[in-house]
Formats: sequence, structure tokens, C-alpha cells
Amino acid sequence: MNCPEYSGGSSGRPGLLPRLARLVHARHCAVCRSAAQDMRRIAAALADAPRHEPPPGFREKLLSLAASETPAPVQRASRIRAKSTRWGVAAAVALALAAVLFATRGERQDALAQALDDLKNAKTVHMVATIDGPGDHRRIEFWISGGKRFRLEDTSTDKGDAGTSITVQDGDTLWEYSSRCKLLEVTEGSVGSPAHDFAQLVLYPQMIASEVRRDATDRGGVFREEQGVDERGRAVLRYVVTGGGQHGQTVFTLDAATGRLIGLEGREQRSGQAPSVVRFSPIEYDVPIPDDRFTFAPPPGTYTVVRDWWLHRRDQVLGKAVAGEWRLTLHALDVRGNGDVIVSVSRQLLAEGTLNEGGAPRGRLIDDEGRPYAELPVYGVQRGYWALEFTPVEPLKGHRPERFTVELNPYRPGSEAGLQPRPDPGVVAFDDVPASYLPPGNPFEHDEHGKPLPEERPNPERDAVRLRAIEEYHRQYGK
Amino acid sequence: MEGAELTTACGHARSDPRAFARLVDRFHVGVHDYLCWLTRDTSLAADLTEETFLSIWQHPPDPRRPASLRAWVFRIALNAYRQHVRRRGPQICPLDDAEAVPDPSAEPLAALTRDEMRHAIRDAVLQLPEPYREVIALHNLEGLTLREASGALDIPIGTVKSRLSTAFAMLRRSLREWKEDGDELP
Repeated sequence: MNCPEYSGGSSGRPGLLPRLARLVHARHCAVCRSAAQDMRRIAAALADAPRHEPPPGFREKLLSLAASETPAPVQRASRIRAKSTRWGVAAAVALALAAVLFATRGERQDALAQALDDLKNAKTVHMVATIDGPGDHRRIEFWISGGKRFRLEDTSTDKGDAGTSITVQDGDTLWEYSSRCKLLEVTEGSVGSPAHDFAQLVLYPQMIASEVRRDATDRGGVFREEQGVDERGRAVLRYVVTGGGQHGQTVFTLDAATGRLIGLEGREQRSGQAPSVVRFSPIEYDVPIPDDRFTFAPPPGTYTVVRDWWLHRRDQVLGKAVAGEWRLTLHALDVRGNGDVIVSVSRQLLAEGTLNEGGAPRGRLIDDEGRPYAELPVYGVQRGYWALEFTPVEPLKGHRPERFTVELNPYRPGSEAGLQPRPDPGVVAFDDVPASYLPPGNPFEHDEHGKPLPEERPNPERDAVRLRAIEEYHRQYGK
Repeated sequence: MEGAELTTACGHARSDPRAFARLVDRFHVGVHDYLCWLTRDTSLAADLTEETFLSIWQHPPDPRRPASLRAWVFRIALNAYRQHVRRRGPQICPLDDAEAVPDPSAEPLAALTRDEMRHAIRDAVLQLPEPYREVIALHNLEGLTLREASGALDIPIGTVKSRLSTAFAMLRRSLREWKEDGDELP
């Protein structure tokens, strides 16, 4: 992370302990969000990169080459078999030892896995994490209720209230507040579950457990179980993992009576630096959490930006296309004051576990006088939901289109990062889609009183983007 | 799974041309593409792809080291490339200089169109130093998992991750310069 706003964990490889702080920071930092957006674009572009196709007849050439070659001499195979016999004895001993070790570790890990499942499935969880590392001291408090409601308060203990960020979600509205910027961003009508964005934070103890277990099993670390008593006099089980990876030591504390995870402490030290320590304590289960924890009222003087685009569109359906592997829903078609068109679509990829991953649908529009519209780059992306923007390829000359044909590719064929290759879905055409006209102003954001924020100022760069989109349209579809 | 697959697919390949043909069908396009990214020369890549599959035909995998079939095949391809480099002579590899690529700008790359991005990313990848090109080509272009890339390159998985991270930062810097210059990559 090369962020001037953030110093914690900035040296060396990304460590385990500062990661939580970085995740929290990245949610609120324009520089880091921009970097993350670029990385996603680069990954998508790499997935989209054209392949170097082999020359015609190459496969047959390979097969004929192999057919004309004599297989390897028998002597080589014999030598390997002889070696294998000697190694086989050693391997059998090693396997027997490994079986004993894994059986023991397996029981311990079952206890830990069960404890982490309990944490994930509890009705409510309240927990406090403290992070103390070189240049980074913070306290993060979590309140979690079911899968949809949570609150996270992240305070830099060096900066006090000036360094607090608060994130609250009630299942439908997401509040993101930064005391440093005196800014509150409210997203209403959330789609694609914003909780997903925070899953890494909420399940952070699970992330640690996963890494530590890998250290203990794959990298030769030491996994030790201890029985003891905690500061409240409760009988506890401690699982201590040391060495084997980049983590110095991690201690999981389980309540001996309930088997629940009640504490976690990780400590690591890089050469030449003070140690970094993260502690989750307390971790409380099924505690009553008042409803007002899951809403947010900003302090006076806060600048508020409200986004409710999807609140008014997600339940509206103008068209739907379904195939065995995907479902594409057209929610709305809005025309802006400058003639650009916003098409709100959602997509589910039904055949994959990675629901809604992958790039946005691509396509074009044609209005009721046959004028084509070129696609502008997709900016904001929510999981599976997109507001696709299009710009007229030709001047409208005062025409006010009322209906459009919307042509979309549900997804890009081939493989995308982390996904299986998929067949070409072809183009889906929604005919006769009615247009609604937006009032002047920024359509995506308004203030807390519903007053639209100012329209984008004339922006030469944005104009250049439009021109490039039109050029690309001509390359793809011809003039 | 992979170990069994490896033994079945390759072990039988020596006596069963159909098994070898299945291997060719499954991997020859990816191996050729990967070698194109490494060599920047499609003709040389075709020659090295032939060497790769000849080697697969002649030398079945070591059954004591079960690994991902895909990782194993790409490792043979990488070895073919490295042998070629050794034959060709030493090459300057600015690995140390490439480690630090700070780019704290908040301005995103969003203004690049898809077509521009495809063009720019190709040039940017081809200009990456070899160790970074290797991991980007394996993981992001050929779709190997991190673990498979680690096996193919015979380096720890942490090294794969850190090289990917550095490679992405370098690509981002190249693309930003491309965007600012509106021209070819520097």
C-alpha cells in the first residue's frame, strides 16, 4: 500500500496483523479505493487479453512429432523404480508419522472450526479488536446481528475522535461516516448485500484461523494445546500456534464449557521493528443489542451525500431474459439532460458458485429513430448490478426518443479472472423499452433533503471519453 | 486428484497415443500462448511448444512428486524456455530495480476504453521484467491458481503473491503513463 494517508504496515510484505487495519482504512480512503478499482480493471483487462493462437495444423504437427519419436529408454524407468523402492520405506515411515500428527491436529482443528462456526452463526456478536503496531494504534468495535445488520466503529487511538470512521448497515441502508472528513455517505436500497464487502472484517478471526492453520500444517509450525484459567476465572483451552510462517505467535482462547472462541491474540515482529499485536477481546455471543446501534444520525455540521438510485429501480422490471446458466433483468432506462442514457440491469450467473462475479454486460442501444448509442466505461460496480451508461453516436438534433432497443451481451465469453471458461451467450435484445427522463442535476446523488447535488461541471476528459466510446463503436459496428 | 490425474494422463501417454492426444488438446493452446508471452516471438513460441510436448511424450512425470497436472505441464514449458535462454546467452533482468513502484495517485484508469485497455495491457505485460511476466502470464493469462503457479515456477506461494503484487503495481504505472502520454508505452 503506497497511500500517503496510511502508514501502518506499509513496509515489507503484507502482514497478517495490519491487514484488518488496512481493510478498514481502504473503505474510507479515496486513494486506496482508486487503486483497488485500477487493480480490478487491470485484472479484467488481463482476463480479456486476446490469446496468441497457434498456427493452423499445429495440433496435428505435435501429434505427428510424438508419434515419430521413440519413447524414453527402459533404463530410465528401471532406475526410477529402483530409487522408488528405497524411498518407499522412508515414505511409509513418514506417512505413518504424518497420520498420527494429523489425527491429533484434526481433533484440535475440529474444536477450532466448531468455535469459528459458532461465531459465524451466532444470533448476535459483540467484539472489540485492538491493534498496536508500529505507527498504528486503533480500536475497532463490532456489533453484528444476523447476516445483515452490523456496526463497526474504528478509532485511531492516536487521533481520538478525529480519526473515527463508523460503518452501519441495517440490511437496507448503509451509512459510512468519516469524522476526519465530516462526511456521511448514505446508500439506500442496497443491492448485492453490502455486508458482502464487510465479510472480511466480520469474519476476520476466521481469516486468521485459516492462515494460522495453514502455517501449522503446511509450513512446519508448532500447534500446542494448553488448559488454563482466564482473568475471569473461567476454564479455558488455549491453542497456541508458533512459527512456521510469517506469523510470530497466535493464541486462540476457547471457553472450556461452551467451546466458543472468546479471545484471540496474534503477535508478530519484523526485523528492526516493534512488535505488532492484535487482540480480539472480549468476544460476546447472543448479547442484546439495541436497535439504535443499527442506524446512524450524523453530528451537526456533517456533509451528507445520499445515493438511492437502486432503491427506486431494483423492484421494477422492464424485461427479463433467462437461459439455463444466467438470468438478465432490465430494471430501468433513464435519459439524462445531456442525452446520455443510463440502463439499470442486474445479472445472475446461475451455473456458478461465484454468483454475479465477472464483468458487466456489454452492448449498445438504438432509439426509436434508429440512432445508435455507444457504451461508456462502467464506473460504479455493485455485485451483479450495473448502471450502464450510453451516449448517442450521432447528434440528436432535438429529438426526444421515447423508446429504445437494448442489446446486451449477458457476459463476456471465455474465462475471466478466477472463473471457469464460459460459452458465448450471444446478444439479448430487449425491444420497445420505454424511456423515462431524469430531472437536471446529478442523478445518482442528492443531499439529505433530497436536493440534487450539482451536475458535473463541463469536463473535457469526460467529453474525450465519449469521443473514444464512439470511435470504438464505429470500430465494432462500422459506420 | 491431481496426482492421480497426472499419473493416469501422462504415465499412460507413453503407451497410449490417445492419452497423449488428450493432453495436447487440453494444453497446447495455453502452452503456446504462455510461451508467446515469455518469448515475445510467436515462431519461437511454436518451436518451444513442440519441445515441451516432445518432452512430455518422452519423459513421464515423477510419480513420487504428485502435483497439479497443469502446473507440471507449464513447468516443462518454462524449462524449455529457460533452456533456450541459456543457449542464447545471459540476459539483463532488472529484478531489484523493479521492486519499488510507488504510485499514490487517486486518479483511476477508468477513462481508458476497453479497446485501449486491451492494447495497452498487452504492451505493458510484454514490457514487464521476466519474473513478473512469468507469474502474470501463468496466473492471470493462463488461469493457473496461485498454488499451481507456485508449483510451475518452483517458488514459494508467498513469492508468487509478492511478484503478482509488484507486477500489478508496475502495470498500473505503465497504463497511467500510457494514458497520460496518449501514445505508446515508454
